[in-house]
Amino acid sequence: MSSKKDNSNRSSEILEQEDVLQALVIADSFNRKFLPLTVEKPRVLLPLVNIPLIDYTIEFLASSGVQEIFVFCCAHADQIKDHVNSSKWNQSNSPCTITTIVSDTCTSMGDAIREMESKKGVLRSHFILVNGDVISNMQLKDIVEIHKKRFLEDKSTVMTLINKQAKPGHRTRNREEEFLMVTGPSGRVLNFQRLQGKRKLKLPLNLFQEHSSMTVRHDLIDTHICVCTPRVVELFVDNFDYKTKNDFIRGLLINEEIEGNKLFLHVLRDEYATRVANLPLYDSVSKDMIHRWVFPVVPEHISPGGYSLRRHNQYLAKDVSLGRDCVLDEDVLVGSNTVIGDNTFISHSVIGSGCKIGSNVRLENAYLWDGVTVEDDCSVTFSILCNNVLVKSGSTIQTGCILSFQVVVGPNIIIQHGTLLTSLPQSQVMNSSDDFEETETSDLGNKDEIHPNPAVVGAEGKGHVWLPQEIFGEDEEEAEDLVGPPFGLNVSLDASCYDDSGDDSDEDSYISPSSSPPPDDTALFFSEVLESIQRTMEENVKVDNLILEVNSSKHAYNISIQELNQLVMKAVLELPHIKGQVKPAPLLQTMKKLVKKLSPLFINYFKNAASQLDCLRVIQEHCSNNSSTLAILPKFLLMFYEEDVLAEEVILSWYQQVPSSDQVHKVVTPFITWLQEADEESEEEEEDD
Amino acid sequence: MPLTALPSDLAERLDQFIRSLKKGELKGSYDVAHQTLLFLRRLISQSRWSTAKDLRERIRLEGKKLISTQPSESAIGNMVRRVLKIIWEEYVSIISGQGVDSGDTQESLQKMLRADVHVDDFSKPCPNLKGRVIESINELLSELEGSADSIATQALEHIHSSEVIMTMGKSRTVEAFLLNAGKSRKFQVIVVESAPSYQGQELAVNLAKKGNIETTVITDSAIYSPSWLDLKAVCGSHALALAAKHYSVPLIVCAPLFKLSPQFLCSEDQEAFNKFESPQNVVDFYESDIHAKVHIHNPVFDYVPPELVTLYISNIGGNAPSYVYRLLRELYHPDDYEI
Amino acid sequence: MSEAGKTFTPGAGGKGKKQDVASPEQPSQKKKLSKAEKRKLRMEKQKEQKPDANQPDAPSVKQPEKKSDVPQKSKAELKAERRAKQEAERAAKLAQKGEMPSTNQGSTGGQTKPRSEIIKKERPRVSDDIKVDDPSVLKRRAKKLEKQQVPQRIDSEKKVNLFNHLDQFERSISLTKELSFSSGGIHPAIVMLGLQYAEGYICGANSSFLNQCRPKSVSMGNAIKYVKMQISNIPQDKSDTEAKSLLCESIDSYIKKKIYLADDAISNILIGNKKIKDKDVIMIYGCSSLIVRILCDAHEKEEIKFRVIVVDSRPKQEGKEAAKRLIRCGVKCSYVLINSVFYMMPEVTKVLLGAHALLANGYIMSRVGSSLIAMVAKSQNVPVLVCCETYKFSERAQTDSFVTNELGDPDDLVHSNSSVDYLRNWRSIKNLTVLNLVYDVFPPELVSMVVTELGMIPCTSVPVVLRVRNVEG
Repeated sequence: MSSKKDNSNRSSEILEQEDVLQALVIADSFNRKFLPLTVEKPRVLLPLVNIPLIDYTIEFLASSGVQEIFVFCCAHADQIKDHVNSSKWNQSNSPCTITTIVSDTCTSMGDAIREMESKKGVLRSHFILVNGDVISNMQLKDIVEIHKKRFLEDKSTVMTLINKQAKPGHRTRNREEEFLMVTGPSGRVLNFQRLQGKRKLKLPLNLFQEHSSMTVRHDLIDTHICVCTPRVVELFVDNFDYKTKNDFIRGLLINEEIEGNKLFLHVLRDEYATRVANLPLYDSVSKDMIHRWVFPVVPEHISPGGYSLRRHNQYLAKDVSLGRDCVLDEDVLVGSNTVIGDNTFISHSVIGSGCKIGSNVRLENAYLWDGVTVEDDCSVTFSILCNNVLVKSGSTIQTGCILSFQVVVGPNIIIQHGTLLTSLPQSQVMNSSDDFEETETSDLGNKDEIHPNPAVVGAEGKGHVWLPQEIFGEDEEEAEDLVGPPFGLNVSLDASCYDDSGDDSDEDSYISPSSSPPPDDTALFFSEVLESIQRTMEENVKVDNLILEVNSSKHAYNISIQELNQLVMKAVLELPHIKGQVKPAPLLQTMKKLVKKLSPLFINYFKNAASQLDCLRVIQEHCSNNSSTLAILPKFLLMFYEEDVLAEEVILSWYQQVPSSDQVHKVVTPFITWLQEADEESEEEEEDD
Repeated sequence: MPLTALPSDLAERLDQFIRSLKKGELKGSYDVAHQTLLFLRRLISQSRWSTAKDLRERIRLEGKKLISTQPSESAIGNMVRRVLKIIWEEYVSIISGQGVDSGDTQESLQKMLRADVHVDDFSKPCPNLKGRVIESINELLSELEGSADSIATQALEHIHSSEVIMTMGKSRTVEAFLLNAGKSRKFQVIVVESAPSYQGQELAVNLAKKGNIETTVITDSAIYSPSWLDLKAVCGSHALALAAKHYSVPLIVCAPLFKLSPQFLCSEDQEAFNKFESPQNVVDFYESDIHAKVHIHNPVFDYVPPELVTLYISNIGGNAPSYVYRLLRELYHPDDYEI
Repeated sequence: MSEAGKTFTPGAGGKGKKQDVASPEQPSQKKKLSKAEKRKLRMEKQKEQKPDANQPDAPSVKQPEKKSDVPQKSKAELKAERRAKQEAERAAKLAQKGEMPSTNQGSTGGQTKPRSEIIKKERPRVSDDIKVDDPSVLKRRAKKLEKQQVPQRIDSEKKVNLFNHLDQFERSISLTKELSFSSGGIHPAIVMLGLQYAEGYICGANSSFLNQCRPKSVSMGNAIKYVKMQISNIPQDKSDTEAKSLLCESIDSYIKKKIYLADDAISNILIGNKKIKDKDVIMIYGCSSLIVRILCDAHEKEEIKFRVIVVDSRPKQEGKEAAKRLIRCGVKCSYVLINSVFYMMPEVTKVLLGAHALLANGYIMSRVGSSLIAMVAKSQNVPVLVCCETYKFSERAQTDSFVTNELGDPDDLVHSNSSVDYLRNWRSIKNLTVLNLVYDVFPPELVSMVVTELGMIPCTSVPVVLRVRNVEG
């Protein structure tokens, strides 16, 4: 599975293994944001300003002193491997060693990290975890030093997250990943919540009780760069439900009290770092690049051929031929060997190498990759044209279109807004690949080739319409992304239109726009928990598994721990009623069974006083609606008490809160009296413990 | 004869050098010039070559690579040219059996005419060329190292007591110049802070701390106002030069010889005549609306036309700007202007 | 209130032809002056802009931030009125105590004596503001302030030699504790401040406080002069409230006429005369509300397609605000710092500058850095247009930026949250001083044209405009 490149030249130099800075590059996004582009090429090899994304990442790592880089690839692994092996980083004079690790089975970043665990001894010390589509000019050294120092002082330090500061509404923010971060004075992360389109977020009360000062921030971009201690791998292995880094962060914060693992935040101010996570970001990062925000990572430095920089951010490669009267307005990058015809107007565009652009063409905010031909009198706005696309004369490509590899359109056709075209019919590609985006396509030479629709692609066109995929609910990452922008470059179009008037001026209240309302997670979660418990009871599954199941549903629906506690209790209480047991006696029987069986579950969730109180309140609420439960309430409470689920102090304090007019009060009173009496006796016993 | 590939350690060194140039790790043209020379010396001693022609070809080739990585840093090209000239001189002197004394300015005009005529074949083998070239490069290195000092020693000739001097940014040479003058004379310095690098502030702090010179920091925008008081402005940007001209204040440029480049400026937009850094220093990335819609430019260099410069002080003495062509002639071989 | 108002009426009405003896050469004489005299002195100081007194006055505040903001105006007025009331009460209290009986009565007896003295001393007087280096002036001021219960500015230890005559502005001194509305760091809009200033003047107590906060501006001076004139025009027999409402009305009309309408007029003149054309590249400097407005008008109303280069300078970086406003209007912008002016200039077809004041000798007083841009533009033959309302015309004459200027807070130059904070401990370095000038003055040669609400005129026509205005007034 893994192929290790042995660089004898270098490895001999690496004497002290401990001091080697390692980085793990996840060269797969495990999502489908770049479809249909990624059908044929993995995302990390897509060119941004004419250079594959992964080259930026490796360049960034190498220039900040990382000596050993592991590139973890899944989909299109052979392409990535070939690319990495033929790159300059694999030559003898490279400052770092680079190793590719291939796995076909991974379906998430968590899987990838768990896979690393099986390769013992690869990640020896603190390492940098980064996605293969990160662009940055930062220097990691200082941050790694700080991280190590922190780790020496406090062994529970697990990870340092690196975030970049940017105002809400900033172009380079990932609209799908808006989040709220609460940090303590030392930069310790106390709470992390994704907005997912919500405008109101709840911060747990204990946050305010436990910390005298904290910072709540909504002005950050996640750079997807983090410094990890080796423990991170173990944690991923221990919790196999962690799929993404967000799962990890969330899980870690939830279990913070038990495990005491700490996360820290490092905020970048002067340096640039961001991840090309979706198409709008592709657009905006390209522009940042051209505007030189990532200096010294600028086109003329990083491209092998080099560019000459002219006024108004025009970058021209050495052998570009410009036609007469052709206007390059501003922010234009033209790759080598490209020919541009007369009277052509180009602005805010990136043009690859070997392109042929005819006369009277208008390109605005267009991304033309290598070998694209645009014939005379065409116009392209806000679109991506992949390698070797041919646009025949007189065609217009409207905003938000993506023409994947080898597509031909025209002549004299208008490609409507947001059209996605591929050279192969969607059905073929989808049949031959599984659910995940960046998987290889096999047996392309198919028989029943559906003919291209001339109404869409033109008389001589070759290409098929690609419909954006329905997103499957099981995958948490995907479900979260529902709130993001739909597809294509439409969002960036809105953002860069010059005529949007003052509405984004009140940035303070600005939170990312969301189209669809968040689904009623709580209800879904509840039904799922109920189902799980029922199954546990009926099929006699181990309770540990039940806990895992509940946990994973919890992550899937982003349920807070408090809600979870209440819902679990509610589910337990309702279960017998669903089965139709309304009489107190059989109810008590079922309950007894339930509580006996599920006590590990309760103990797992109702750990502290607050959660136990929550649980009691749920019971109380349930009783007020249900007389049969009310009848067995004292017995029920006793059961919990005996199973050590509820502490007696909690029961007592709850009792005090129950209004005496309440039925519950009356019913419970004898039990409480008994408890108080028993209390005195047990005190002595406890002392012996 | 095609050039063979570089030995691997040299190639590695070259790569490393190019990387550090790209990253801008080397601060100031002095470091760049120094590193370039060290590299070229290594190249001459370690690469395989048999004739002067080969060597010159080799140096041109690698020199081109270096220059293209940081075209705005003229010191690289200058050093390459100087080395080429050294090879030429040494070769000619060995072949013709007589020393070519480049320091002798009296004769050189004649000599240059002659030399061009009769030495055009570099392919003759020349046994002790390597040693002599390396020796000359070492001389050049020591000249480089002493350049700031030799300029500084001239300070007293140009600064009198209780003078007001305005300068801009931070230059090693200017700092040495002023500090040297400050040892024996009392004068006042106004330093323009030169945002966004704020090197001016650094210079001001250094002057005040090390030299006990009375120093005032002003903003870039305030250049115009205090100019009329100044008796001299030392080194600076175009705007400062204009202000100096406006008030008829002499403008002195301090620069060691290694910065003297045989390039011509036709227009401000000429390729490789400027360097643009990240707009981060100008406007914070954080400012979302400006970031998205406004073009921010952050050029690093400015050009001062010769008519605004009164005096040019190099390590070999003060010259009028109109005399620079003569210095160029002495420093570089005309064939090497274009590498 | 009315008493206080009346108090100053004679001074203002008398056109101040008679100067008091406040020149430092006569300290002994000055000491003999009565309390009322001293009070008068202070008032006299405000009226330096007489045609015959060609002495430079205090430098001015920067461009108003939002003078076309109507609600703000009313707020400002409200505030001013509140202040006025407070001050009036205070004045009344003082009057009851009989501290200043002669002043409060506005008695002629108290005034004739100094007047005769003044006539003897014909020598023009130099404003105290620019004589901070004179110990006697300082002493006098301290005394005055003490009396007025205005916190006194502590003289900064670190001053630039050349500017010893100017007040060093330092934020650390909490002058604003007493009066929160004019916090030193933020520039209050001219109108607002002018009004407060004017109202304060009527009550006669806090004007010197304002002066302590920041040296006053030329346009403020003009506004005050107008108000004073209005006061003098108020018939003596009017009641307090009537007088006050009359005054407010006249102030309103001043704002309307001189500021809003003037802005409109300038904008119309510039655009009407096609001074902004398609494909123009216009360079502006800092944030002049007038210029931003003109550009927005040109873009929105006339749909002229042009590009703007906003030049900015530290430490205030007001240009950011200008750029933000322009892009909100949809104008295409570039943004550079002032050190890149030379690089940008070849693209530029026109330079538009705001002015702080136009001086009688045709010199232009503007935000520091404007001169630099004008100079570079001149050297590259790019026309420089200065946009300026006539209320900013001043009768002063000045040829350099030293005699009167404002010194900004030097700590503004230190940027603390960055990695390059060389200046962090600049105060501890013995020989190091930091100078943060606010204005500069540049000659008319650098300017092609001045655009005012009266039309496009050359700089040298300032005295003509002033003359006409005085005749009208």
